[in-house]
Amino acid sequence: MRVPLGYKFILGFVAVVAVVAFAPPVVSALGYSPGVTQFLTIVVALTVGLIMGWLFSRRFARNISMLTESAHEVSQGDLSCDIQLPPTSMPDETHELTAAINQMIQNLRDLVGHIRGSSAKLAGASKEINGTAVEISASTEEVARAIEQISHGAETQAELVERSSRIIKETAISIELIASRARESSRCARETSQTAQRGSDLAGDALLLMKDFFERIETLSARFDQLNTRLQRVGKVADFIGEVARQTNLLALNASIEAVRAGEYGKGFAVVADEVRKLADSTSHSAGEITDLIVTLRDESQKVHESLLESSRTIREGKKNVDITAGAFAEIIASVQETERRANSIADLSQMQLESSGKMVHAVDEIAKVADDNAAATEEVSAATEEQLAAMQDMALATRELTQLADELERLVRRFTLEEPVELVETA
Amino acid sequence: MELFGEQVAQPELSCDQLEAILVLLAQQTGLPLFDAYKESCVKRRVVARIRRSGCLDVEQYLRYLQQDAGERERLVTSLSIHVSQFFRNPTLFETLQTVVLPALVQRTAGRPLRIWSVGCSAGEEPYSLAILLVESFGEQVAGEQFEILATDIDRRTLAQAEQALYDADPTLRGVSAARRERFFTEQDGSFKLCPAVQQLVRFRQMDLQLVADYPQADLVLCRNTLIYFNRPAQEKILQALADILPQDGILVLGKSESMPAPLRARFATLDPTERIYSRR
Repeated sequence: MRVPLGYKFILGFVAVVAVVAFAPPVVSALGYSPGVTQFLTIVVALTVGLIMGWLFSRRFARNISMLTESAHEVSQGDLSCDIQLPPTSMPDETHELTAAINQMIQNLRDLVGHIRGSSAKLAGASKEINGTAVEISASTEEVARAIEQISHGAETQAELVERSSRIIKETAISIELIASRARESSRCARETSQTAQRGSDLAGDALLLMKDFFERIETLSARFDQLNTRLQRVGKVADFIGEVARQTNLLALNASIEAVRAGEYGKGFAVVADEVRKLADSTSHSAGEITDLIVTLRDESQKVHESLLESSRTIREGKKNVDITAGAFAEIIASVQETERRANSIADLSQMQLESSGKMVHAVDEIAKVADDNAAATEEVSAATEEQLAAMQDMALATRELTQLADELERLVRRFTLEEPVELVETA
Repeated sequence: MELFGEQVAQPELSCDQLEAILVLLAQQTGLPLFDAYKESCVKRRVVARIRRSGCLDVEQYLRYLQQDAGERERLVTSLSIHVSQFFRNPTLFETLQTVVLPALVQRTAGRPLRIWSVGCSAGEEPYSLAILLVESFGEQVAGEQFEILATDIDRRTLAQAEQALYDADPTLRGVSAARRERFFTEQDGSFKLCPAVQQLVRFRQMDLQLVADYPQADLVLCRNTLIYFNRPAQEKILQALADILPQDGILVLGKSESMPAPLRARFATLDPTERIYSRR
């Protein structure tokens, strides 16, 4: 049965008052003098009061002192013991206080145990994080090195591209030179071709002229034959005239003889005959001269004919040369035209090459741009890895602080003893 | 986005909003507009910053940015990425030590050789170079014959650079034990660079976009800085670098960076692997 402390005190107080109320009649019945009676009454009342007070406060004081001691232990950090008050049939507030303090100790024990466990876990976790941070730092550094490698590649690439670009530009310049030279060659070849054409035309003209000349020579030759025939006929006429002259001479001679025979009468006739004979002689002489002239003429014409034939032969030789020359000109024209064609083709090809090299320059520029972009991207990654490294360093620092914090917490709660709950033995 | 089983808000950032944020940042910090940077990169950084600030939307973040100078500083730091190590890409430093620096020293006899480290972060690169110089020429000569200027846009990392205090990992990963022994002293788990090397380097805050501010230099190290800029800005910066370099002056780019085609007329490639160029 629970009896509150107040009731217990009131009960004691009522008992003392009852003693004070009922003691005088009992004491006076003993028959002592009034003074003694009064004294005894006071003594009895006091004694009863003391006894009652002692009886009531004994347990209370013992309980309070146990509680005090226990509170002191808790304040020292010892949470290992619960308070156990001796069993009683009349529990009061001290018992409730004890239960509450025990609950509090239990709660504290739970709390400290919890904190201790948590701080150990915290220390473990922060070590874990620290380890991870270090690991990430290491792998970030690995990434950074790889990026450096890539960047080195990009740098080398940029340099090579620059060099290639320069070479291609130089090549383009020389290709342009080749193209212009090829065009010049083509022009020269065309001019040569035109000159050769003119030469060929002239050779053709020469051939035509020669043909004309041959025809004329042939005509001349035929005329010479005619001349010879006519000269022969003239010779024959001259022979005939010579014959006539000779016979005339003979006739004149006959006439002279007849004239001589005729004597005087024949004298005049003799003169005529003589004159005729003289005429016949002169005619014969002239006919002879004509014959001689004809022979000379024939010889001369023969010579002219021969020299004409000679010239014709020489010219035929010349015609052969002119033919060869014309052929040579044709060949020259053909080969120069071929040259022109090829030079044109070189010019066209180099033009194409020029266009290709332009495209190549463009492509190389494009490559350079890509290389540049790559370099920029590697820088970007590099910046990010640097950032990450910085963050990891911060994180490592933070986890170090966290570990320190956990250690400190651990140290703080280590003051509290949790184990060995010893049974409190009642001392009073 | 899901993290630890919880939905994490991923703020949507339109181009106009990004522009507004960057304009606000430029107005309030006096830095040039961040429009020369690669947009995707900038956007990612801003979104990350908005998420970390705890703002629910972009409008709220804009208001926050307007009110809070610290957030502006954090955004600038976040926009400039600082990843560096001592002797990052060791082969480059070997080439510098064995080939480039001796040749440059011979050429500039009679006056100090000016070296400019662009985007120096927390000083890892210029200090690496200073270590090389001390190794090759000794402290005395290195101090007299060389001037190393290191610049970065971010004041916070420059302040770190002047501290010259570094974690062993990963910053000092590339430093050999002998060098670590000779040039560093340990301080509470970190390593402090010795003052003899430290005093060889001067730091200055500078934005690469302001080409008029470029100093004269014989050797420019501009590694892994241009990757954050877009192509037009890269070309502008490289033209300006070509202007300040003397003939045959040396420019070194990062290993993943490349010389844009229009600039090849001004720079001849000396080493395509290490990205060493000389001005034509």
